Amino acid sequence: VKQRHQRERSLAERLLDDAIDAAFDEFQMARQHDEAESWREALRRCLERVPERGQGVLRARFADELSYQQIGERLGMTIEAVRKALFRLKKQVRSCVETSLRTAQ
Amino acid sequence: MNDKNDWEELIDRHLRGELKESEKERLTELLDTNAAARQEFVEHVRWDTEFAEALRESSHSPSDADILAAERAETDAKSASKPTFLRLMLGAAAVVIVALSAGLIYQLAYSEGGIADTNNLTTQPRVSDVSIARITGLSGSLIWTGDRGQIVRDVKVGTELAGGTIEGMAPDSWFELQFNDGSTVMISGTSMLTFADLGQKEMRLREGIFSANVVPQPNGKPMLIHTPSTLLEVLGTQFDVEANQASTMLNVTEGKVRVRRLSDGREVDVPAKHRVIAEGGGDLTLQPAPESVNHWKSQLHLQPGCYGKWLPATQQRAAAQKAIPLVPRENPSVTLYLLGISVSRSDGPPVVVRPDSQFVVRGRLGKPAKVHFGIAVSDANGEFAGKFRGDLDHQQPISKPDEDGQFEVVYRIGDFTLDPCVRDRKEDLAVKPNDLVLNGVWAFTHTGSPSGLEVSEVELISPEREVHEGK
Repeated sequence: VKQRHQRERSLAERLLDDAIDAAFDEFQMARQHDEAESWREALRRCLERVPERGQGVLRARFADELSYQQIGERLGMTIEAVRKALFRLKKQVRSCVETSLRTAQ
Repeated sequence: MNDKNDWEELIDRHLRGELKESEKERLTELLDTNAAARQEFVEHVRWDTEFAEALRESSHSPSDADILAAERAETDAKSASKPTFLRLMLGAAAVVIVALSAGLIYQLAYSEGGIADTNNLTTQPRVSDVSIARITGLSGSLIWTGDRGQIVRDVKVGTELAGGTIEGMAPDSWFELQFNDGSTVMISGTSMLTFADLGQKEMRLREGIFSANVVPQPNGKPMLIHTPSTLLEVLGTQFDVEANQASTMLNVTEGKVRVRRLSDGREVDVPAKHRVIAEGGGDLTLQPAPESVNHWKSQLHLQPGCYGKWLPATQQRAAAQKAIPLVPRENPSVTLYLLGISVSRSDGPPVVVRPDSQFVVRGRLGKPAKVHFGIAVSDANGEFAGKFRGDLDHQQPISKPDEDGQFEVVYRIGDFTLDPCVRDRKEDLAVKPNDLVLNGVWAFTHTGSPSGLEVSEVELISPEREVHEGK
């Protein structure tokens, strides 16, 4: 049963890998240089606007690559609070960047 | 897809490596059947990757010298506990990262024309008031973060620096720095080094290959090199280091280096022509520097390459390293598909390239394509000796995959020439890779669309071995 489970597991992994590869092959479009620069600048500006505590959560996750549990321990939050904060912060920053780029156009 | 939050949560959990089997199947099915889901998935990963890139850059803003001092004690515990999902994610979304990195692609893309335009640099690092070192050599894709937070992607030879962090972004990246007292340090490949000199030289090698030629240091102020697992004290010597989060390999050519393992505080003095490998548990015993060998074969069934996407072995096919897209910042209309494999010195003796040897590259291609191939070499002291291409001198034929998609290409060492991107400092480098130590190999295609390049094996074969095997 264990071997069968392993086989199925690796099959699921492989199928998912192939599906992700296909998605990237279909939609990987490099941004033009100028576009990429203004996009990154907007992202930097929007990240600067995030309150200090939010920046701490984002930095812990993306720069320090901590797990939710480690972020929670560092910042005194529950895992669920970390998950929600990250979800909300990412959404806010995405929205800020998109608005900023639209305004620039 | 009915619940957008649920879908985003699913992607998020995939990136954290937390999906159950049934959720993996659900995600696969969504990606297979829904173009909008595929686009959204790629976009989501792209955003997360950009977040990571931007936040990493901004996290360099405080003085790196301060960070070195403050984080000395806590770095290892933190590094050891880091999850690897972000690295996997970054690998999957490398198209975004590489679009941000400079140099390599441009050089690769134009290398056939023999152009290495080092003058076309628009942004230069600010010259510091208190310079501690000068860049004496570089090539490939590098990012320098100054200790005042400035981020420079176009660094150049001759720039004076006050300290900061240099990151090699690609397998062929290389960087050499000379301190004011004449000591030189070098990183190569995908590496990250923070350096400072506040009366005592102090460095932090987060990962990668590092070598140094250190003149005698002031009494009581040895050069300090932090790696994730060790602290090295250097008084004046020649040595090279290969570090990752799990282990550090130190090879001393001249002089003596003291190694302290951070996990248990054990110390050992490593004399000339000896090496030590510091890992979590095991012995910290000296080993004589091993004799070199002339044969090498990649071990992709055991470990991933250093660039690209690693495909572990399955029942149907051998393990392979898959090329991922790389877009030059200077020329965003060009997309190369690149992979790299490093030649680890921790796992075996140095591999010396002989003039009559040859490389055999085996793998898969989705369509006929020229497979370009390059190598990085150093001299016996670990000092960078050059990057060479096996596909330039000899007009590289198009490789045609067989009915199973397999291909094989042979590159003879006699045909290797200096990579165009380092030709501007050819006086300091070897003319040929002959009798030099192999550090890494890379392969790429430039076909305008995905070539499906996967390399399952690279082998360096010496003439004796060919005779021995009756070839």
